[in-house]
Amino acid sequence: MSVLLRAADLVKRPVVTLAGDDIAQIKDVVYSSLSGELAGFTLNGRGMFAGPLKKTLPWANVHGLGPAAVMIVDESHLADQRAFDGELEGAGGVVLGSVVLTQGGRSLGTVTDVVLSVNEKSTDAVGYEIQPSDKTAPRRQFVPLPDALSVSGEALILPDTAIDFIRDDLAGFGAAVEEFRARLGPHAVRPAEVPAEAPAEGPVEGRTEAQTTGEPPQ
Amino acid sequence: MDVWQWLVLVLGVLVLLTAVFYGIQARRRKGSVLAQRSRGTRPGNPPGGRS
Repeated sequence: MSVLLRAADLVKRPVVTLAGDDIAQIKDVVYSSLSGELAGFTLNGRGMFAGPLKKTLPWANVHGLGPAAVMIVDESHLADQRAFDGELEGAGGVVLGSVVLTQGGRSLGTVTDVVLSVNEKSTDAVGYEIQPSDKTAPRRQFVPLPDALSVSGEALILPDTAIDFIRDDLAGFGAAVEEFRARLGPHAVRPAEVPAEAPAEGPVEGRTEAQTTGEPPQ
Repeated sequence: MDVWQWLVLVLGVLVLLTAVFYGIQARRRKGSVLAQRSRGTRPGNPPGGRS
């Protein structure tokens, strides 16, 4: 089972240790531009005048992800900033505001958020929330991502078939992602992402994240 | 200038500097969603301290 949530919802969420110390705040959500897998977070310090921290939080070190906080065991689970250095240059970088194009050259819109699928095995980027180029379309739409992503310096490229799986809200978007990846071919779907007998959405066992599943767009 | 005028001036400068510093930090703190170029640092273990 997996839970869908918007990546931007994680920004500014406090990072708290199991001892109860509020040690940081999420700054950036970082995911692989090739596989879509969530890599981790960059951090801000706490307090009005605090700036970005030199430490980062790899996803592997997250103990629990809840609507109020990101939990870690203790401060030693924060990693060095070099864990992400050099990986954000060239292709990739800031996704929000990027143009989404199909392989046929059609512009679908600009990215306003990234939809993450959180499950027991992994956490992956499975879709973009976009502001459509088409003025007659709803204000927000959700476009599924293939298993292997294609990210250039300025545009995000999707297969033409992605148009058939655009949804207006997150309800049912998980199923649309599965169908989209199934249509692209068996090699486009990682086994960990689509459990054979589990539904695509619902509460994740052992986690406390309970938001945004089926949430209508703002 | 009188002493109170100097005090007002110093306080004003302090407030201005604080506001500028806060604005700079607020811009530095602004978060986003980033795509990595490669999967070099991709974690292989699920979260939960079970690694």
